[in-house]
Amino acid sequence: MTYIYSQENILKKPQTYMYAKFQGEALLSEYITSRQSKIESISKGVQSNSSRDVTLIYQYIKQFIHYSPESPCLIVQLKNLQKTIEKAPTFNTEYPMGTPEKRISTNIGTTVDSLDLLYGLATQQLFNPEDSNIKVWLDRLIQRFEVSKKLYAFYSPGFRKGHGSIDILQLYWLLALNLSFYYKKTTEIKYLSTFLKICDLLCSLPEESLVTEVPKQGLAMVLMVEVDSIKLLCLNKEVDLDIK
Amino acid sequence: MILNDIAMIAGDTSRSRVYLQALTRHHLLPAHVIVLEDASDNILPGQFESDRFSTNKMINVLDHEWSEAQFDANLKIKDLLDELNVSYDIAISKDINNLSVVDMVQNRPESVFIYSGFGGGILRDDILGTGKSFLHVHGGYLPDFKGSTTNYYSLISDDSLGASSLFLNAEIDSGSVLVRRKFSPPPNRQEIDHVYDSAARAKVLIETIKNYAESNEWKFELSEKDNNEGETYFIIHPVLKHIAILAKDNGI
Repeated sequence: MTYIYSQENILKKPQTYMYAKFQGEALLSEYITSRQSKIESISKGVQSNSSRDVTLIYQYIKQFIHYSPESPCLIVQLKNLQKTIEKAPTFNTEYPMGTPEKRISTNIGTTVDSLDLLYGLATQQLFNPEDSNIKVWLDRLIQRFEVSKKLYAFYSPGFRKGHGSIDILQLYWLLALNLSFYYKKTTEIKYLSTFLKICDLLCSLPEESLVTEVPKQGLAMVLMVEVDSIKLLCLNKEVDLDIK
Repeated sequence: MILNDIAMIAGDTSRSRVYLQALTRHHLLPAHVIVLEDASDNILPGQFESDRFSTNKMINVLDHEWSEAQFDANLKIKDLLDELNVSYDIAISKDINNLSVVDMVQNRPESVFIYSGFGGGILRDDILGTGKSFLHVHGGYLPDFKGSTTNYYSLISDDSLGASSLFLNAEIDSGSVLVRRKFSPPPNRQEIDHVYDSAARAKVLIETIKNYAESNEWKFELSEKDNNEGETYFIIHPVLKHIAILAKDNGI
C-alpha cells in the first residue's frame, strides 16, 4: 500500500480529508515511509539558494536542535543538514537577516503580500517568539488555507479574498516552516494538522519544480520535524509504529 | 409525545438516524420533518457507505454514557417516520440553502427546527432570514473546541469527546450554549464518525429538549460572551485521526 494523501498534485486536485477511512496502523507506517523517502531524495546535494533562505534555514536548524532534546535521531539528521548547508556558496553565519520588526501589525485594512508576511512571521518566531500576533496571523493563514486549500500571492484588505498567483511554492514552504516551529513550541494539535496538510501538498508536487522554487534543505528540515512530531505524538499516545 | 413547536430538517445520515431513534426512545417526536434528499446515488457526507447498509448492523451498548449509541444503523429515516406516523416533506436537494428548502421551512408553523443536514453544510442568510430557530448540536465541547472534527482533536489533547447544543447563526459554533457535556473515550474509537460522535450529540439533544419540554423555555448554560473564546479547528488530518483512534486505553 502507498500513502494516498500526497499521490496526486494537490494544488491541481485538492484533498478534502473529509470522513477519511480508517486504515489501521498501516497508514502511519506508509506515511512515515513516504516522507522518509522524500527526505532522502531531496536532501542530497547543495542548491544555490538566496542568502536569506540559507540563513533562515540555518537559524531554524539551530532552534529545532535546541527544542528537541527528546529526539536524538532528529538532532543527528539536522546536524547532517547543517553540515550540508555550511557548504552552500551563499552560506554566511554572519549574514544579516534584517532587523525584525518590534511587533507584526495585525492590521488587515491593507493588501497583504503573503511572501513578506510569511518571511516576517518566520523571522519574528526566531527573534521575538512571544509576540502574540504570531498566533493571530498563523490562525488567519490556516483559516484561508483550510478553506481554499491554496495560498494566494496577495490578500485584499480584510484578509478574506486572495488574488494573484496560487502556485508560489515558496509560500507553502514558508507556512510549513512557521507551523513546524509553532507546533514544536506549543504542541497544539491544530497547528500540526495543517502542517501535515501543507507537507502533503509539497510532497505531491513534481520534484523538479519543487526543488527549483523551494530550498531543498529547508524542505528536508520541515519534513524531518514533521515526521519527528508524529513519532513523538505516537509515543505519547502509546500508538505502535511498525517502522522498518 | 409530539413536540408541537419543534420540527426537524434531516438528511438521511447516520447522525439523523441516531437522533430520530433517540427521540423516539425518549418519546420526544418532532411535529414534522423536512427530509433532504439528493437525486443522485452518491454517498453524501455523513452517510454510511453502501456496504454498511447490507450488514444489518445493530449496535448494542450497555454503558449509560453511551446509551444513545444503541441504534439500528439500517433503519432509514423515512421508514421510521412512516412507522411512527410522523409527517414529512421531501426536499429534492441536499442543500439546506436551496430556495425550495427555504420556502418549505418558511411555510411551516413550527418555530424551532432540529438541524441534522449533510456534513459540511453552513446555513446562509436566506435560511437564517426565515425567522425560524435552528437547534444544532455541535460535536465538541464549547467554547474550547469549535469547528470541524473536534472530537478527534479533543481525544488527542484531553482524552475526551464533547457535544454542545446551540441555535445556529451566521458565525460557526458561536452564540449562547444550551447544554454542553464531556464524554469518556468510546469503547470502539473506529466507530466515532458514524456512531459515537452522533451518540454524544444525541445525548445532548435529548437533554436539551427535555429541559425545554419541562419548563417551556430554552435555558442556556453558557452565554454568548462566554462562548466567544476558544479555538476553531478544521478537518483533522488522517494521520492524526488514526493516532486518536489507535491511542491506547481505547478498549477495543
